Amino acid sequence: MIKRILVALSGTPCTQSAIAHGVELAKQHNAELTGVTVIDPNRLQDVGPIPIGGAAAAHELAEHRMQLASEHIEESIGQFEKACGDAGVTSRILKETGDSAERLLADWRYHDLTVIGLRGLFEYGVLHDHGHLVLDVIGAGLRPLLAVSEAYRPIQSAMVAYDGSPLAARAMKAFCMLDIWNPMPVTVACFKGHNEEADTLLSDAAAYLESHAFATTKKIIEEKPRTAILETMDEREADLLVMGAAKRTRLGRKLLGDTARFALENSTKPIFLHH
Amino acid sequence: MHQDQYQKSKLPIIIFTTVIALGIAGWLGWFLAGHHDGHGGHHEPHMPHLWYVGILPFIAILGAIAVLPLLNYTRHWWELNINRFFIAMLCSAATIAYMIFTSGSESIGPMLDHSIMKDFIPFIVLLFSLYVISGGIYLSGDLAASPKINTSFLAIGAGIASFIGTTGASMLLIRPLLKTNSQRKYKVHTIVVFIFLVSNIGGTLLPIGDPPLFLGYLRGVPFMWTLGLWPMWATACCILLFVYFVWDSLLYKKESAKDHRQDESQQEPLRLQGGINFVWIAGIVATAALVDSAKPLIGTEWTPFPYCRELIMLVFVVLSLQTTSKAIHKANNFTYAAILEVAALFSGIFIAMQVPLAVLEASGKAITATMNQPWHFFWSTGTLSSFLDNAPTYVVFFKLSQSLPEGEMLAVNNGSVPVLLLIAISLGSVFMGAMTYIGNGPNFMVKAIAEQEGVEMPSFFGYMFKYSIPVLIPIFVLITIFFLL
Repeated sequence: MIKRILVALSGTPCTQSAIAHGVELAKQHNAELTGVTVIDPNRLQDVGPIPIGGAAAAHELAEHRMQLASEHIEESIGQFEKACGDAGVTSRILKETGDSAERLLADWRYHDLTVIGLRGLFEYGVLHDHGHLVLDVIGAGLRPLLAVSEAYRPIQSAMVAYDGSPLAARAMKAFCMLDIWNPMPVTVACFKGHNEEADTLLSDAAAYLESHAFATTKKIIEEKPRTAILETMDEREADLLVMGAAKRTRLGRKLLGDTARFALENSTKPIFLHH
Repeated sequence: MHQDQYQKSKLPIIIFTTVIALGIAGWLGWFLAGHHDGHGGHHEPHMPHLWYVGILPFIAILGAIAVLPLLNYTRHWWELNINRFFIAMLCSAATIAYMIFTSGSESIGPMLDHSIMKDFIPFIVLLFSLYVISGGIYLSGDLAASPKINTSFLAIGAGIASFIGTTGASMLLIRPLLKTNSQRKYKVHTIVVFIFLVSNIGGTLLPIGDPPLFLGYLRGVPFMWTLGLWPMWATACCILLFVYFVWDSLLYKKESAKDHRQDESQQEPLRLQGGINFVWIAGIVATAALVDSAKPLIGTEWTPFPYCRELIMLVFVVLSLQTTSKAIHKANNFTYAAILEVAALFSGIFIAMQVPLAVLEASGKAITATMNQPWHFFWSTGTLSSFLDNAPTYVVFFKLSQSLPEGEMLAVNNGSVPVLLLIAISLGSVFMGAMTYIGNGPNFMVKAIAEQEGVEMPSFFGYMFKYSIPVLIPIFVLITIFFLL
C-alpha cells in the first residue's frame, strides 16, 4: 500500500515529469506527496583544481552555481506546489542541505516510493557530469524507485527484465506486491538465450505475474541485456521497465550496474528499480 | 559562524602572518642598509646541507595550492587571501629557519634580496600593472558566429596576447566571443581553442606576454629576444587556427538553419570602451623594454635608479585608474582579488624556491649528464608547466640549463644560458600551460566565465583527454621535430 511518495525536485528537464508521475500515483492511492530539494554545497561548489590567480574566478563560479541552484529549486517548488494544488493532492516540501545521497536516503526512510528524474539528481542545471549519484543512492539501499524520463507518458504497459536472479525476482515481486499500478499488459523478457532454463524461468515468472492479474507475454532475448534491453522495450511498446539495479557487493554492483546505468542514461521511458 | 567569532578565529593567523612578513621586511631592510658582513656573496655552488629538508617548504606551498582548494574541509578557508598569505609566510619562515640552521644567519639577507627585491617586486608590479590597465578595456558586441569570424577572433587574440598579456587578452575577448557564439549549439571547442591560443600560446613573443618570460627578462634575457620565437609561435598558431577552422566549419554545418537565422538576426557591432588604456599598455611595454637600472637608458648616459621601471609602471596604473570609468570596471567584473592572490602566493614561492634552486645549481651537472637536449627541456618544462604554475617551473629549468654551457650562449645576469635550451624552456613553459585548466591562470578564468554564461565546459580530465592531448600533443611533437631536434 502506497501512502507516502517522495519526489526529488532536481530542477532538471525530468523534474516536471517526476512531479506529474508523483501526482498521478498520489491521486490513485490517495497518498501524501513530499517534494524534496537538496542543496549539496560541497558538490555544487566543487569547481576542481584551481591555478594561482584563479581563486577569485573559482569563488565567483561557485557563487554563481549556488545562485543558479537556488533559482532552479524555487522554480521546481513552484511547479510542484501548483501541480499538487491543481490535483488536490496533500503535499509538503522538504528543503534539505548537505550530502545529496545522505539527505535523500534520510527522507526515503519514511516514504513508500521515491520518484526521481532519470538523469541526474539535485544538480539543478549546475553540474553536467552526473556521475553515479543515482546508482549510489540505489546501491545505498534506496528502494523502490521510479526513475522517470523527460517526457511524461501514462504507464499502461510494462516490461520486466528477468534473468532468474534473486535481484531480478525481488524487482518483479515488488512491482506486483506494492500494487502501485493497476493491472496492465506486461512482457516478461529473459536475457538468457533460447534454452530450457530460459523457458522455465519465463513460464514461472509469467505465472507469478498472472497470479497478480497482469496479462503477460513472454520474450526470450539472445543479445546482451545492455544492448537489447531498451530496444526490446520499444519493440514491445512498454511504458515502464522493471529491473533489478545494483548489489552492494563489489563484483555484483559492477556487473549489474552496467546495464542499470546504461538504461538510466539512455532510456526515454520510466524505469522501476528495486533490489 | 557569527562575524565577530569569525574575525576572532582569524586573529592568530593575522598576527602570525604579520609578524613573519614584518620580520622578513625588517631583515631585508637591515641587509639593504648595509649592516651585513658580506659573507653572503657569490660562492662556489655546493649541495645544501640537509637539502631534502630544505626543499620541503617549496613542495608544501605548491602542494597547498594544488590540494587545499579541493578538500571540503579547507576549500572555504583557502578562499581568503589572508590564509594564502599565511601559508606563504609559513613556508617562507620554514625556509629561513632552514637556512639559518644550515648556512648561518648571514645567508638570509642575500637570499631575501634576490627573491623579494630582484624577483618578487618587479614581477608583481608588472603583473599588477597589466592586470589593472587591461581591466579598463571593455569590448562588447555580437557578431555572426561563422567559422571565419570565430577564427578571426582567435587569430586576433593570439596576436595581441604578447602585448597585453595572456590574462589581459583573454579577459578582453572572451565575453564578446561568448556573446557572438551564444546562439550556436556547438561552442565548447571554440572556448577550448581560445584557451590554447589566447590564454597561452599567443603570449610567446614578449616578456610581458606570459609571466615566466618576464622572469627570464629579469634574469637578463634581452627584452626583444623572445620575438625570435616567432617561427614556433607562427607554426603553432597557424596549425591550431587551421584545425579550428575545419573543426568549426564541420560543426557549423551540423547546426540547424533556424539557429543560423537566429544568430544572424541578433547581431550587435563590436564596441570598444576604455581604448585609452592601450596607450598605457604601450607605455608599460616601452618601460619594460627600455628602463633597466642595470644599464643606461638607450641614447643617454643616464642609468635609471633602482625600481625606476616599477615606479613608471605604477604611474601608468594611476593614469589608467584616472581615465577609466567605473562602468568599464564593473562591466569587466574587475576586482583586485586575483592579483592579490598572486601576490600572496608568490611572496612565499619566491622565497621557498631558493633552496631547490641551490640544489639545482649544485647538482645541475649531474642532472644535465642525462638531460641535455633541447627537446628534453621542452617536454620536461612543459609537463611540469601543465600542472604547476609555469613561472617557477621556468626559473627552475632556466637555472638547470646554466649547468650546460654548450653551443651558442646568451649572456644573462650572473653568467650565460644556452640559446637552444632557453628556446625549449620558453616554449615548454608557455605552450604547455594550455594542457590543463591549471597550467595558467587565465585558462581557469576563461572556463569559469564560459560556465557562467551557460557553456557546458568539460571537466578537468575531459579537457585533457578530449581536447588538449589529442589536439596539442601532435602540434608539440611537430614543434619538437621542426625546431628542437
